Amino acid sequence: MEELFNTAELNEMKEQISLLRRKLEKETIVNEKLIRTSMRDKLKAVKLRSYILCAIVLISCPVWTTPIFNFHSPWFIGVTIAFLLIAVVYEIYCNQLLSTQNYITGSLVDEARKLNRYKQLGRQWHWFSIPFLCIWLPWFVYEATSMGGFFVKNILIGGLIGGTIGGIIGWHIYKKGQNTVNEVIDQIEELTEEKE
Amino acid sequence: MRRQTMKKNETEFAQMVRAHKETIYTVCYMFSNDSDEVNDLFQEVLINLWNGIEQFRGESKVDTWIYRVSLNTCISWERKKKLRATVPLTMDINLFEDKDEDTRQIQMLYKRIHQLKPFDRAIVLLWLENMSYEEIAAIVGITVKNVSVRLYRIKEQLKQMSNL
Repeated sequence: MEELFNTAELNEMKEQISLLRRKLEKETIVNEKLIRTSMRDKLKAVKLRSYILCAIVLISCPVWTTPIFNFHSPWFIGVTIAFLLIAVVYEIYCNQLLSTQNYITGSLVDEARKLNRYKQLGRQWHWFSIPFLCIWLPWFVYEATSMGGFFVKNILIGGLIGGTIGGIIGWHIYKKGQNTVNEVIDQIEELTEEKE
Repeated sequence: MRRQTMKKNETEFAQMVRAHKETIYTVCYMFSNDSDEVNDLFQEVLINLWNGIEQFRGESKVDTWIYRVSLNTCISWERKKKLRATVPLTMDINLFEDKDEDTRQIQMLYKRIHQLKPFDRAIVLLWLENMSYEEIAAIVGITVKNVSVRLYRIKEQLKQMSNL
């Protein structure tokens, strides 16, 4: 099998990688500041972002009980807060999969499989959250309109613009993330099939 | 005592990173789209190496471990995950933009490898670094036979690319 790889192209590639290494040897690349920053930065970026998000959601929960939303029924407030709390718990659960401890001993396939599971959980969340929002939004509009008055128009316009912009941005971020790992996921499946 | 141990770890870490900077950079370069992304990835790899240094007990060779962490980081990397400010790498060359003959050769290698899927990129990189099939299999997490089959396919793919 080895002889098969001794083609001109692959030998050329081996020479090119040696050339790259020789070029890199002459470069400093790593500076003191970079090493210091990396050692200090123990916190995982993804988890940090996620926990900030969770904190914002948790802080927003009591806001629903303030007089600003007093035109809503206790049922609506209760269901909204329950949904937010479920979202936080789910996010924390998904984050457990992002532990980087496996980088040390785990193989590429194991690591990518975990990533795959993380993405899968993300997709599964939409099966719950999208139908929920389809009910929640009309419910929100219904309760707001039943209050009547000038205030309703402002709430509805604000809600519509904010909801649309937020929805588009959120969907764009989600799709971008999904596309990045789809390639990896395809390959895990391919590799797993070959193993079997 | 604890402070002394920390200091020793820090010194060892800095030495290890400097000794293997070419390996880390090569992997990050092959998985990046531009210089900024190489910077981000390089720092991400260093963070993961530092986080894992206490768990690394020398069960595998240091360079195998560094490859594993670097490749795992690059495979799992998503640009949107970036949250921290990146410290720029200290380099006089730009492998994406320089036009000298050596860099053009390296760019040719980059173009070939970058067209492969992430796992194939990892396998061919390890193979080009003269790693044995056993070592490649251990890092990637597939069987030795699978490595040989995949390398055969990669070779075919590379041939097709050069025929285009």
